[in-house]
Order: sequence, then structure tokens, then C-alpha cells
Amino acid sequence: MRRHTLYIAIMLWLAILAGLKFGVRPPMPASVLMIYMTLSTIAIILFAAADEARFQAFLAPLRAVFEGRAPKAVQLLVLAGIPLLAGWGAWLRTAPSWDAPFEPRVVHPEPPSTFNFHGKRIDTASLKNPLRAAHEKDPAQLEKLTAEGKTIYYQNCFFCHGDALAGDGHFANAFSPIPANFRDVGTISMLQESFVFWRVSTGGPGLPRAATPWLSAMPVWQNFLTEDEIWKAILYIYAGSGSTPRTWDEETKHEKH
Amino acid sequence: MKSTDFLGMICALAFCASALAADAPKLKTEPVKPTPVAADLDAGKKLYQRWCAQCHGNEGKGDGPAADFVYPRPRDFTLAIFKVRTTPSGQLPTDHDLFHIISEGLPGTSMPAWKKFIPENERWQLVHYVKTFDSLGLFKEEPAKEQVVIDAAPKMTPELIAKGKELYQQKKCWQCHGPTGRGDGPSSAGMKDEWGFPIRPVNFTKSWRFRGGDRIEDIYRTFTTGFNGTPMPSFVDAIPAAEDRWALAAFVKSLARPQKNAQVLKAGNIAGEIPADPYAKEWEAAEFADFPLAGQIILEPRWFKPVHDVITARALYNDKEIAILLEWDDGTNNTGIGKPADEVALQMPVQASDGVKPYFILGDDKHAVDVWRWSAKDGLQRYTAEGASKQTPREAGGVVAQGGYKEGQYRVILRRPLRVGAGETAIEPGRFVPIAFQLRDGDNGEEGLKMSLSTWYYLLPQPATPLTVVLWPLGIGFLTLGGEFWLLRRMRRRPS
Amino acid sequence: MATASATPSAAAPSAFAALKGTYKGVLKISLMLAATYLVAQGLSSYLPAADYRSLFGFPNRIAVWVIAELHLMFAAFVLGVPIFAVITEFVGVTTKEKRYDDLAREFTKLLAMAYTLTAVLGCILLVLLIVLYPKLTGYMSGMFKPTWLLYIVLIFGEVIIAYLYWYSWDLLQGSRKKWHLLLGVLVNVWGTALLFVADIWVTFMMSPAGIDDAGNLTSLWAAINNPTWMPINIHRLLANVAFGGSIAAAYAAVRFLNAKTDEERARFDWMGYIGSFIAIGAFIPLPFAGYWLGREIYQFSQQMGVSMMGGSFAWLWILQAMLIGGLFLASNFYLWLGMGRIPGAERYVKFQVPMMILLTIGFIVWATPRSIMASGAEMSAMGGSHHPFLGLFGVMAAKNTAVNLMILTTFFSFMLYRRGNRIPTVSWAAMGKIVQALVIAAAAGVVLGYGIYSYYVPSNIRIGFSIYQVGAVLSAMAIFVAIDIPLLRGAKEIGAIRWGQIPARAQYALFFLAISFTWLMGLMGYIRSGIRQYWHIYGRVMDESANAYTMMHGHATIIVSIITVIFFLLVSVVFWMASRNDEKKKKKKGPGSTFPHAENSECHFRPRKTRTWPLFLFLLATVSIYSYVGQLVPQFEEYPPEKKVITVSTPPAELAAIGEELVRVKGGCLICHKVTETGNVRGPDLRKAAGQAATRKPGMDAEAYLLESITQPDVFLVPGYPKMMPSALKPPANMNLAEVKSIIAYLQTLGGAEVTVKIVAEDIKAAKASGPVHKGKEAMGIYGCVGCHKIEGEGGEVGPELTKVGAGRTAEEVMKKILDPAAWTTPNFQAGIMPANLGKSIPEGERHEIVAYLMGLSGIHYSPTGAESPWSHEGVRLGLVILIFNLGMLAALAIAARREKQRKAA
Repeated sequence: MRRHTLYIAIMLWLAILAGLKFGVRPPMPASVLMIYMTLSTIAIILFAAADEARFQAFLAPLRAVFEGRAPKAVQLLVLAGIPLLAGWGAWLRTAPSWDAPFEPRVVHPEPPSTFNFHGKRIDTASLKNPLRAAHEKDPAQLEKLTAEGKTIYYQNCFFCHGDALAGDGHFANAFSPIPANFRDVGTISMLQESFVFWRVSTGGPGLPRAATPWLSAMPVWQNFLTEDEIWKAILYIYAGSGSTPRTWDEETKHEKH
Repeated sequence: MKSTDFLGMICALAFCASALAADAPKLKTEPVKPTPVAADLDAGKKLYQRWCAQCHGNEGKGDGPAADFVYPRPRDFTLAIFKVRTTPSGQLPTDHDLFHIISEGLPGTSMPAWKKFIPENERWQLVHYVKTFDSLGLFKEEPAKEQVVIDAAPKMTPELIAKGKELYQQKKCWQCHGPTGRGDGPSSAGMKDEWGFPIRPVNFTKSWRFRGGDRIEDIYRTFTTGFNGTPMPSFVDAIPAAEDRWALAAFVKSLARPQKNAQVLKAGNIAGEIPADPYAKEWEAAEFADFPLAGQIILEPRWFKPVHDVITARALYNDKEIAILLEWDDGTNNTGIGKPADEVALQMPVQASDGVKPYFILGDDKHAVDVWRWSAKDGLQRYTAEGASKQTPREAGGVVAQGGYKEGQYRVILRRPLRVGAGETAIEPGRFVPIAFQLRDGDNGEEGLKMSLSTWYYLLPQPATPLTVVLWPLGIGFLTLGGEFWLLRRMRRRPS
Repeated sequence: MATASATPSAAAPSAFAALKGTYKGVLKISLMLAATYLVAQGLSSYLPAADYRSLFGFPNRIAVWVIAELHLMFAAFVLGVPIFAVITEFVGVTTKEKRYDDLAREFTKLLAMAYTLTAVLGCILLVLLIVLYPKLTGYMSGMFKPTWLLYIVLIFGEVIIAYLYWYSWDLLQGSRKKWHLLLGVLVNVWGTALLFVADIWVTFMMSPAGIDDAGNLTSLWAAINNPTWMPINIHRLLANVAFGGSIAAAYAAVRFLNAKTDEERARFDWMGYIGSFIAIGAFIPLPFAGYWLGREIYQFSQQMGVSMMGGSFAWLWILQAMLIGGLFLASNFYLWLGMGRIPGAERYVKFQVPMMILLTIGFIVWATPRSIMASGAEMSAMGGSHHPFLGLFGVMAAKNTAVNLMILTTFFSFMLYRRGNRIPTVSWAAMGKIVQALVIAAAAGVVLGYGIYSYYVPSNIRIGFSIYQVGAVLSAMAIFVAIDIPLLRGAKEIGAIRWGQIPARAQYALFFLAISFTWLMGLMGYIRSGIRQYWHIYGRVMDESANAYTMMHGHATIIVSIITVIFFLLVSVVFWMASRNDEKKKKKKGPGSTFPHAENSECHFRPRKTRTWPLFLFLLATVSIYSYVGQLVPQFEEYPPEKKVITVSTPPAELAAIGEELVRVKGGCLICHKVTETGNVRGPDLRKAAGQAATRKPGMDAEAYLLESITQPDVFLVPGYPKMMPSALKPPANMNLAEVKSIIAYLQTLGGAEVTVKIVAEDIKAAKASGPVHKGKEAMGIYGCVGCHKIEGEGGEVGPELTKVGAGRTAEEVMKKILDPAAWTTPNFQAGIMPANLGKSIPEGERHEIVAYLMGLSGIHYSPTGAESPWSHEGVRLGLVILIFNLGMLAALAIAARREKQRKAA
């Protein structure tokens, strides 16, 4: 067993590579594969080196080759193989693929501290959904407003964000980046309503540079909807996707109990 | 109830009756499978109002708040006419048929596949509830008892396809669907469905829009049972032999061209002249890429009912010029008479700058785009746009367009000299140039901002492989070899 | 420095010697502070007044960053080390093992030398801040004057106690040991206080509180106890211990690798182990403190929170994940290698496989980026920027689960290590082990269970889960240890630990821990400070210098690497001196210490020659890898919002854009008018303004009409609208002619017409001449002062002209008159005209601005913050503090000397 440490390590490495490359569907991006393989490589080498006897067994075949104790054919194979592998690796990196240049995009950009809404200066930090705040104690009224928000949603938003709010409306696949999936735990449920209001009101052109405003198909909704309508639609997208907005007050309360 | 609705209903009933009488003996049928889940109409109603009413309306009349914004319009359930069925033409669908539609959705419409979001049990409740909208009580009185047996599909052989092609000619399918299946047949114009809305024959090359699905079995089923409420009849009478219908289905399936979406339109380098004929073999050999399009719903006037959902492009360049061939299917050739002319536009940033691109719809006030627009009426026009509201015509400046319409398809070649002056988009081998596309279908009343569009993609004249691609691996290989020898010498000198 | 490093045992232990050593420290600090003050004062008065100055073209921000970070690292070291020095000393007292006392002293020795370097760096930082950022530093020091004085006093206190702690080591032995321990505790109390005070300033800049809109202090305590103060305090306290431990371990590693004898090797092996133990121990709760801090940041400003976690800085968390994962791997690696020197530990080697698998999977989940970098083709294959499967790993729920499992695994490694050579003999041993295993399994189950469950609940509930996960892990660790202690009592020992018998690569692991901790500290410091972006004081005081941009991540990581390398070079100087002193001592005394080590065990680690350059290469390689990864993440430079300037050559489109911004923001036009379908209708629809302008007044062209209606709105009223619009040239809009013209340009584009308005040189000149309006002048307009008083040729004549008021009155008098108009009446004017409450109704900040403006007209400086000139009395105060401490020390020295003499005489 111990004699084969190096071979086991190599097999394991190859198995991980194969598993990640072919076992994950849809295929993982090269950047992630690279991270995973780097970590796996480090883990395997560290594990081999974490025990003196194991480490010596791990090195032994390599030593045998470099010190000339291995059969000549094996020596030749290894000594020729390593530079070839290195060259191949380099070729993989330099070979032209002509893939579209990677356009990094910040998914949740920071909102500006203030923004314009119909000429009003809105302070993002103190912004709260006035409808939710006013009718917190009156679920029937809130439900009514949410229903109105539903109508607004299906007359304005569902083309892209989908019937089931999953970001898969019938126009969705023509746009890149694809529209936000409100059912994803990583989207609106991570954000405060003020953030959503900012995104809806100022749309794609309101994004900061790092979020590639020239690509976003999100319209500037303040040109089409009133403040009330946007807040109602926000009520609906949370209710409809079964998520709740992030609020700080609630957490603080939660912790004090 | 409006009188036209009533008339339509009478027609439908008559159609039903005649179809039943005629087809029943020829068709291999089996009893309808039982419905696995018992009805709970309250639950069904709740679900319906939660997920369906926005389009189909609370009363099932297809008049929900979103109904005016989708194309085709949502189904009105009150007449109990359904397209996708396994029952003979004119009959009501089985519960399983309705369940299938709710689960899989209708491709090419805004009806999504609900199986992703609604559990199976609840979908059955929707089936039960949708049937309650039937204003004539047909589901109660004449429920489907028999459904068509769909055998295992035969293998798609060239012979079968050839036979299907023959039938396609013989049975005059091309009259509606066009000789090449692009839905541009001579009688394709002016068709209406049972509800009085305009309808166009399906384009067989765009199989992703087949309402009933694009498996060969789905196509066969459509021929066999027809699409109730549309001009598409059942072909059981016309083509009684099942194997013939399979042949036709195979042929239709063979016309389908899967989409090949890409991020980059790669322009190949060719030695001689770039052919002016879009059907030349050089163009056929060039790599093509599809770019999906959506309605322009971002700026006023917003356009919710686009026809075009894809544009196909190829590109070639030589040492003098670059040419882009744009192809798109259009059942009608509108040259600006009566209706607006069909148009295509290609835009690129005037100057590629520091990683910032212009806004994808006609640029913005800081970043202008260069727009090459070809219309079936006026040919090429060139604009500089700094936002949709600020489009300035300019000289063609060496940009040339050649285009034409043939067999339900437009092909337009746009070409430009490779080397241009300052202030124009630099296109050179190895450089990624952002491009975006816009399409307008005059028949659908599209003009100005009423159009289909894409976001930014890239055009890349593919350069020759650079030498460094070879040098790097060699260098690194030799470096490793050197390292090995150093280690070898060290290890062998010192006795272990 | 050399004096500080004199070991206490070199001289005979006496109170006088101890005090003498301590006084040297006080003297040094006194001189340094005095010199700093003189240099700063000298430079400030010599250099021309400015808001910002530059350092020979070297970017200010980077200069301050590098020095501040280095200062912070040394400060962290000197604050962290005493904590575990005292603990080790205490352990030595309770176990009566001499080696713990020796170790504590070894740690403290590093400390004594590092103090000097910390102070030098602190003084350089202070000079840099005063010289490069005079305005901000003045504002800050004016506001926090009381804390500043406290800080100086604390520094002296800390220096005295710390040096006393060091120099009295031999003196306070035996029965007096408890006094020495007390000194050690005091060092830490003082050090912590020092840390808390310094954090006030840092956290205030991040989350300002206790100031009004004009930036004036309303509550000093609120400013001190700002939202991030406590979280940062706790975070830093823990980080300091972890950092100090890792540096001490690295020191031991270097000494181990350079050791010439087995005894030395054994001693430093043991020291490395203790150092790493402390480092990891403090590191484990660190993420939770960080979580608290992050939450406070979010709560203070969602925007800052988002830019930290989701926005531009999000990519740096990939690096942070890599570093933390690396720390976990390296510490387990070290422990496992260490088990090689424990007889009997081979029993536990079998656990390494599952532990490694767990750690690797944890690391992989931990390192999965939230925003995956993917090419367009990959993105379309994934169906968006989120991978349906990997996306599950990107969220906080997965990260929390992964890190908790990694913590649990590492803890388990420690416990195996601890048990390595012992076999429990208590009767309930088997039962105890089963319970321990169950506890660990239960904790892992809770962590995993909540991890998976959190995908099914909304975020506000999900966030609460991390508390349960942490709770499970912490209580499992507590229960495990509680069982372990009685379990191993009286355990049978298989053999003694063979200290020193550990492969060199284990020492590299320790060294790696130190490098990574340092780099991590540099990185997190950058993120914490960087998320303020172009603000000095977040949301309040903007950085208006040329350096206000946020640099690309790649550049930032290179600077962090440079800081790390400089830090290690400086530290190695300290280490080198410490080892040189050891050698001197040895020469004098010969090898004296008797550290228990395995004399006769087979030694398969050959002593090698000095291994310094490989360590240096290792340092360079490690930081290079980190920087390299920093280059791989997306790179942006972010700039503060552009200030648009109107010139004669501004193109019409841009002019219109500026006009639009003015209409929307500065002009406040949309309060009454509308430019879109929805909007206010108190005034005419601006979309039609340009079109109708030509027809409004006969004989007046459109442009002239628009100009008149904006600058003199009352001349012609559109029928149906009341007379209510103020002139745009006057407050509150306070625009200049060029700005008004840009608005006309906007109105013309809005109406669909061509832009005809032209900016001429006169408009610009007029705008320049008026310059930026002084806030005080603005305030006098807003509060109606100019209605009665004439200033600079404008205003009413009901009250006295105020243009030259500064010549006759002091600032205090002017302020008094504003607040209490009845205080006196200027001759020839009627008393009682000025409303009694007018002045009080003006916010304090703006009152100060008014006084500053009025005094400024006579060339007299008055700080608009109301604070006195920041450095006027500082010198005196500083001098007093220095004097008091020096006198006190001298007095103590004199008393000690007399006693010494008496003792000798006796």
C-alpha cells in the first residue's frame, strides 16, 4: 500500500479531474475548475507530506528516477514526460480559443447614496417601502396592494422575469445577462427593498460602471411607473417568489430575544 | 356572448361533427386513460388565480391583465377549443392532453412549462378547474372517449424523408407552409383563427416554436389530430396511411434547423474576392452563428409582440474588406407598400473605448454607435446614434449593402473596407468588435423602436495563429527539461 | 533599540536597574513625540496652506496606507504578544514548570524590541497625516481632542508598564511573582485601552456618528461609540492575539531551522507549537467577530455593505477565502507532522484520510466564488451568471457550514495531538470516548442540517441559523474538552514527546501561517478602509484629492505583498537582534538552560547550515502567489463622481446633460415643474417651455425669454400660475449664468429643438469671479440676513453693514451677537429690530460658517467647525504630559537609587 503512494495520488488526482470535468452538468466554468483542481492538488501533496513515512514512500519512485535506480525505460519515460506535460499545459493556456472576452460584472453593485426619482432626491440609506411600513398591521390592505402589484408585474415585468418569477420569461434568453431570478435565494431575498427600488427606478442605465450598464436590459421604470406602482410591484415580487426582504430591524429584534 | 363568437362556435361544432363522422373508422384509437387525481375545484381555483389568471383571466376568457401584452394571445377557455390534443380533430382534449400542455407549456408562446414550478398533483387540479370554464358544457356532455394511438416512430431514413417531401408537394402543404417550409406559401397571407385573430403558418425551420413540441411523434400527432381552431386541419382524410403521415413528419422534422447561439461572430479569412451573391459556396461554407432577439420593451414605444426571435449571421474578410451576411426568415416581403418595409440593422460602437460600451439600444449621449440599416424599400442607410432619440444620418462612407428576398428568407450582405479613417470603428484581425442587431417586420407593423433587438455580441475577424502559441510551450518544455537536468546532476552526485 | 534588548538577567536583579531600563523607554518615547511634534509643526508652518499636499509626487493614499498598515501590524504584535505572555507565565506559575516562564520571557523579549519600531512608525504616520492631509487631520483632531490627550497618556502608561514588566522579570520572582503577573495584566489592560482609543478615529471615519449635517460634533460619546467601534475593537483584539502568536511561532521556526544543538531545536520546536496553538485558538472565533462587524457595516450603510460583499470589493473575498482555507490546511498539516514526534500518535494516523477529505471539500466550498467568472459561452451553458449547482456553494449558508466543519476538524486534530502519547486509565474511558465522538458527530450534524435547511427558508430566518451552527461547534468543543481533561488525568504515557524531532517542512508551515496571517491582515485592512471609497469620513467628508480613486484589485494586492515583505524584513531585524543577544549571553554564561529533549533518540534530521535565504524565497513566493491571484480577479479602477465643468467649448449635448442634472438636483426645479408625464404641476410643464418661449413675449426671442424667466421669474408670469418662483441666481439654487444657460440648453433639447444657447467667455468669468460660494454667505442668504445687512455691496440697510465687521469685533463677539441680538446695539441703529430668536434658529454648523465667512472678509481665520486651531495648544499639552511622565520616572529612579544604596550599605 505504502509503496504505491505516488501512484494512488496520481490516480486520485485524475479521478477528481474527471469527476469535476464530466460529472458536473452544466459544465463548470474553467475558472472554477482551475480553483478546484489547484486546491485538490495542494490537498493531495500536503496529505502525502503530512506523515514522514508516507512522504518518503511518495517521493521514492521519483527519487529512483532521478538517482538513476529505476529501469532505464522508466527513467526515460518520466524524464521526457514531465517537460512534455509542462509544454502541453503551456499550450493549453496559449492556444487561441477566440472565446468572447470575459466581461466581469458585479452582480449586486453598490447603490449610490442618493438618486433621482422624478426629480426628487432619494436617500438610499433611509429609504423604506412606505406601503409595507404603513400597512404592517393591516394584512388585508397589504394583500390588496400586493394584488395590485401583481397586475403591474404581469403588465410590465413578466416578459423577462417570468410567469413564475424565475427569470425565465419569454424574452429572457435574448438578453445577456439574463434577467434576475427572484426565486433564487441569492437575489432579492438577500437585499433590502430600498435596493430593489433603486434598481427598478433607475434600470440598466442607472448601474455603476462595474456592473456593465450598457448590457442590462432593465428599463428605467421611473419613466413608466409611479413611485406607488413600483413599491406595489416590489411587494408582489417578494410575495410571489415566496421570499421576504432583508430587514435589519427584524434581525436585531431576533437577537435581543 | 357576441354573435361572431357564436358563429365560430357553430362552425366548430359542425366541424367537429363532420370530422367525427369521417375519421372515426380510419383512425386507430384506444380508450382515454383515466384521470389519476380527483377534482378539488376550490384548490384548483386558488391555483388558477395564483398562476394563470394574469393571462387567461379570472373567467377564463383569455383576457387577464397581461393578455394584451403577449403574442399570440392567451387561450380563451370558454369555447373549449384546444390545439394540442391526442383526440381526433374537432374533439375535446383528454385530461392528459391538458395536463401535458400545462406541464410542458407551448413553445413559441409566453405559456411556460409549469412542471418546474407547480407540483404534479396541483397541475391536475388546474386541469379540472380549467374545464369548468367551458360555457357550453361540452366537457360534461361530450368528453373525449377515444384517443389516437401513436405508435413507435419509425427511423428517420433518407428514403422516408424523400417520401415525405413528395407528400409535402403532393398534398399541397407548401401552399401555406411554403416550398422550403418557411411559412411563406401563396395562401399564407391573411389567415385568421377561430377567434378572429390573424395567424400565420408555422415556419418549419424554427422547430423550437412548434406549439405541440418538435419530436417526430409530436409532429405526427399534429398531422393526425389537427389544431382545432386554426386553419391547420387533420390530415387523416388526406393521408390515410399512418406510414405516410410518419414520412411527412420525418420530412418536416428534417427541415428543422437547431439554433446555434454564439457570443462571437467569427469572420473567416478568404484569399480572393468576397462573393456578392449570398448563395455563393463561400458563404455556404462560412461558419454561421445565431443571435436570439427579443421585443424592444425598454424604451417608449415599447413593443411586446415581435415576430422575429433570431437572426443568423456569417462573416468573411480579406485584406481589403469585411462582409457580414445576415439571414432571417420572414413569411412576407414588405417593401413599404401599405405596411412599413422590412428592415435589419447592425450597430457597433463608433470608437471602442476603455472597456465601456455604448448602451445596447442605439448608444447613449457619451458613446455613439454606428448603425448600418438596410430596408427592403430604401436599401442601405447609415446613422450615427447617440441614444434612440438622437439618430443622425451620415454618408455611407464605403459601406455597401446587397440584399434580397427569396423563399421566405432575407439575405443581406453588408460590407465595409477594412481600413478606415479615424473616428470609425476599427475592425482588424484579432480585435473583438462589439456588435448588436435589430430587426423589423413590416407585416407586423414594426417600425422605429417597434422592433426585435439583441444585446451586445462580438465580431471577430479571426487572425492567423500567432507564433507565440508555439514558442511558449516549447520554451516552458525546455525550461522544465533544464530544471530536470539540474536536479539529476544534484541527486546523482550526492550519494543518498 | 539595542538598549531595549538588553536581557534582564544580564545585570543583577534590582529595582533600580529595572526602573533604569524602563526610563530609557519613556525617554525614547518622549523624544520621539517631541520630535514628531516639532517636525509636523515646522513643516505645517513652512509649507503653503492647502487641503492636501503631495509627497514628491508619490501618491498620498499609498504612502499613508503602507505606513499605517505597518504601524498597525507592529501595534498588533505588541498588543497581542503580552496577552499570551501573561497566560504562559500564569501557566508556568500554576504548573511550576520553568519552561513556561522561560517561554513567556522569550515572547516578551520580542515585545520589548518591537515597541520602539511601533512608536517610530506611529510617529512617521502622524507626520504624514499632518503634512499630507492637513485639513482632515485638523478636523479629526479638533473633534477628538480629549481622546487624543488620553491616547498620549495611555502610551506613556503602556510603555512604562510594559518595560517594567520586562525589566523586572528577574527581580519579581518567587514570592513576588504575583506582582509581576499583576504588571502583566496591567500591560494588557492598558494596551486594550490604547487599542480602543485608536479604534475610535478609524471607526468614526467609517461609520460617523454624533455629528450634525454640517459636520459639527453634537455628542462626543456618540462619535466614539459609533456603530463599528465595538465590533472592530473585539475583532482586532482577537486578531492581535492570533497575529502575535503566529509571528512568535514564525520566530521559533526560524530559530529552529538555524539551531545548532538538539537542545535549542527542542526548545524552539516547543515554542513554535505553543505560538501556533495560541494563533489558531484566537483565530477560530475570529470569523464570528468579523461577521458581527460585517453586520454592523451593513446596518450602518447598506451601500457600504454591498460594496464590501457584493460590489467592487467582492472579488477580494475570493482571496480571503483562499488565505483562510490555506491557514486551516497548514495548521492541520503542522499538527499531523507534529504527531510524528509523539510516541503512540501513530494510532491516530488513520483519521487523517477523512479529515483531509473534509478539509478539502470544506475549502472547495469555501473558495467557490459567489460571482463566478465565466466566459460568455460558459455563461450561456450555465443559463446565467449563476451555476445551478455550484451556485449553492456560493451563498453564505454554504460558507458558514463549510467553515464550521473545518473548524471542527481542526479542533479534532488538536485533540488527537493532545492525546497522542497518552492512554486514558480512568474506569469510564471507553464511555467517555464514545460520548466525545457523539458530541462531535452531533455538532457536525447540526452544522450540516442547518446548512441544508437554510436553503429552504427566507434570508432573515437563515441569518439566524449561523448562530445555531456556531453555538453547536463552540459547545461541542467545550464539552469535548470538559470530558477530555478528567479523561486524561493520570493517563498512562507511552513515551515522552521527542521535541525537536520534526521535519523542517513543519517549520515552513509555521512560517506560512505567519505570512498568511500578515497578508490577510493587510488585505482585510485594505477592504475595511477601501469600502469608504472616495470618502474620508463616510458620507460626510469627501476625499477631494487626486488620490481619491479606488485602485484596481491587482495593484492593491501587490501593495499588500510589499507591506508584508517590509514587515517581515523589519521583524527579522528584531529577530536577528534577539538571537544575537542570546549568543552573547551564551558566550558569557555557557549553555545553561535544560530543556527536556530526547537526547538519544535517532535523529534523522541533519542539522544544516543557516537557512535564511530559503525562508526569504519562501516569503517572496508566497506573497507572489497571493498577488498573482489578485491579478486574476476582475480589475476596475473606480473614481469619485465626476464634477462637470462648463467651458466655452462644452458641446451642446454635454451642456444639456449638465443642465438636466442641474434641473434635477441643484436647481430643485422638479419640485414644481415636470419633465416627464408624471411629475409636479405647480409650475408649467418644462417639456413645452422651449417650444412656447418664442411666443410668450412679443419682440423677445425664445432664448432671451427663457433666460429672463429663469433669472427674473417675476417679470413675466405664465397665465394660470402664481408668482412663486425664486430667481435661479439667488439662493436656494444659487446658480451662475453659465449654469442657467446650460439649463436653457437642456430645455431646448427637451422641447425637441436645436440647442442655440452659447456659452461666452463672460459667463465663465462671471462664474469664476463669484467662485464657489462660501457656505457662510449661502447661509446668510437662506436665513435672510442680507435682507437687513449689507455685505460686499449687496443687501439691505436696515442693520449695519457687516463687510468689515471682523475688523472691529472678535469672532466670539460676532457669535454672541448672532445668538443674542439684544447684547448691544451699534450706534445710529435702532435697538430691538433684529429678531431675538433668529440666530438660535440657525443650525450651529451654519452659524459657525457665517462667523467664518464674516471674519474671513477681514482676513481673520475662524474654523468653520467651531473648533480651535488644531495645533495651537497641543504643543503645551504634549509638553506637559512629557514633562510629568519624565519627572515622575526620574523621581522614582531617585528613590530606587537611594534604596539601592541603603541596601548595599546594609
